[in-house]
Amino acid sequence: MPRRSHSVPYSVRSFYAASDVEHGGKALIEVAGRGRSSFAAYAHGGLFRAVQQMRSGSATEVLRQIYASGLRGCGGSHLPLARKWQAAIPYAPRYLVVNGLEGEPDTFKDYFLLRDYPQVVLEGIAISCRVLGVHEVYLVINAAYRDCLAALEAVWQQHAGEFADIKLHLLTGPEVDLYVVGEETALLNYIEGKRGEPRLKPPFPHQCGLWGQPTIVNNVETLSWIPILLTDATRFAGQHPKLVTLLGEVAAPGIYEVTLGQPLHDILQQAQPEELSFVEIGGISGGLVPAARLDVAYADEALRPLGVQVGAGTLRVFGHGCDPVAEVVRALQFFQAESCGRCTPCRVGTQELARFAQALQDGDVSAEDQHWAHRVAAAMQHSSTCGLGRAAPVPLLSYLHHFAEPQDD
Amino acid sequence: MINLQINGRCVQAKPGTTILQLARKHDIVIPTLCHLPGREVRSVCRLCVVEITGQERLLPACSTAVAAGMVVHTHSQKCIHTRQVLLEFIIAEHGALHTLSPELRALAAELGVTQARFALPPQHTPDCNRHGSDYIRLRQEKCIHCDRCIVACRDQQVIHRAGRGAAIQLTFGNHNAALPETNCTSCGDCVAVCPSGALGEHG
Ligand code: SF4
Ligand code: SF4
Ligand code: SF4
Ligand code: FES
Repeated sequence: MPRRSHSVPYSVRSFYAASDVEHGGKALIEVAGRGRSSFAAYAHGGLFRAVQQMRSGSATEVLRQIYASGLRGCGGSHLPLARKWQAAIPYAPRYLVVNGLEGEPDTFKDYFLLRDYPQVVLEGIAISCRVLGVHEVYLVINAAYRDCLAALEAVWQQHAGEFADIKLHLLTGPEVDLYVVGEETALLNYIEGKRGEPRLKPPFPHQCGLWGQPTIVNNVETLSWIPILLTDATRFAGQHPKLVTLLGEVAAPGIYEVTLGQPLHDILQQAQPEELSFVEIGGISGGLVPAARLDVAYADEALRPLGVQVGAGTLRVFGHGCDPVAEVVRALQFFQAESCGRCTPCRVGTQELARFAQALQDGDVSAEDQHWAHRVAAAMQHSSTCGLGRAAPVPLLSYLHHFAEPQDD
Repeated sequence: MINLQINGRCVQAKPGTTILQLARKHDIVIPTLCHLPGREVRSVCRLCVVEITGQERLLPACSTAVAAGMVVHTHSQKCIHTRQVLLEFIIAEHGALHTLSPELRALAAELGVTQARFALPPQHTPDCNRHGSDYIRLRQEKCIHCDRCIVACRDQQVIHRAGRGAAIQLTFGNHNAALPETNCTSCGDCVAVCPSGALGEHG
């Protein structure tokens, strides 16, 4: 019986309130190239195929297949999963921590999986445990996703046979200060009941993680792709699928399954943008890119010159009535409040950039101020402890680059 | 022994040595603030960041171990620029340069920082200082969150950090108690290491 912890719903960010999805009338829509997602196709073909298949094969063989698929971390890191695991296995991992906090605002891909495909999520976890030789798992989901808990538990019990040697702890995340707890070491602190702030790395979790034991931390989506890649090799044949949360001023907001490297325009068109002025790529820590520059492939290599990344796969569309500066102000206010305050560059830098962004919106900045803002941003990116402080300047930098400063080309 | 380079010199170090220890051994001065010898290393101030060839990010010398073939620069432009900005951050958070510790003032002089070009809006109410004791006077609005007091109070573990971002502040005991209600022994270690006067003695 998995352990379960309850707390009151996360007031700021309940799924429907935070997105435009509710107003579209359809909750989450599944649109894949083939009319339905890989997850729907997998479920249609019979659940637990992958686990059963694994029974007959060896862990090494599964790891080899994961390696061959090129599956990458879908929580934002984009590091090859097999490499992460290979580095961790010699340490004899004790715990698997599955990160379903999804603290990135306007991001609901993990919710989609937890709500609609709990079997696939748990199957991915079970297979991971076998490959890693782990017998204890912590699945931590966003407190606003508590409606998924019952189904996750029911599936776990129904298929107790498949999970016999695995102990599952099913937890909900914090109600507030959610964002930074999504960082893997902050999540470990949270599970241990400590203050949810990142730890110094090294040591990395695979060396010294939960309760000082070797631990592997993976995102929900990452592990959910494992049953797919084991049963449908074509989906990973020379390509990498990804769930994106596409919302904003579009007629059909929702979760879309895309292929990395696909033209960004095609991805956006699926959601039928009413009018397109600019797009926020990669969530709140991503950047703003004007419509004129969207003629790129949706992949990190192609997005990098624009100063943005795929990240957790969030795309927010803005029409002509929207002011990009207002989004920059919003983002920096968010970071200023969410910074855990541990390190100087991020704690003070987020406040200073929030002030600068506000001045920018008020039309009250000199060239000298702007130069200073760049120095602040550089110091934050070079010296912050975790990804929050390093990413916080990105919305501002992308705005200055694309909207405010003269372009070279 | 590990072979590596620091500021152009080829040197050797035992595995596990930090870049800060190595630098000190070779009379290279890297500024530090949060680091207290012999205490838990928290690397929160980031003033000691150094550049390692091939890495975009700077790394804190006080907690980064040497590695074979590492090429370390302790005073590159990038390091200096970052330290200058961080020092301005510290001054802005504290409110002034002249009331910071002599050590920080010397560092400011060395880096050519004379003031912070911005001020942070005041976040603290007088209420936040009500948890002092007869012996310790609190002035949280002066705090630069270097964590020195937290690691100095190693035995009693009285001091903690609470809150987020700008609203961060120190609390005492496990449940935000007043100092006399915690196991504070009034040993004064925290006051002795505080570079900002946020923790001071009465009188
Ligand atoms: S970068 Fe920001 S969020 Fe991360 S540890 Fe430092 S203060 Fe905390
Ligand atoms: S006076 Fe001593 S025991 Fe009390 S808080 Fe300071 S260091 Fe801790
Ligand atoms: S009270 Fe003093 S020693 Fe403690 S964190 Fe603040 S400035 Fe540092
Ligand atoms: S002295 Fe190294 S981070 Fe503070």
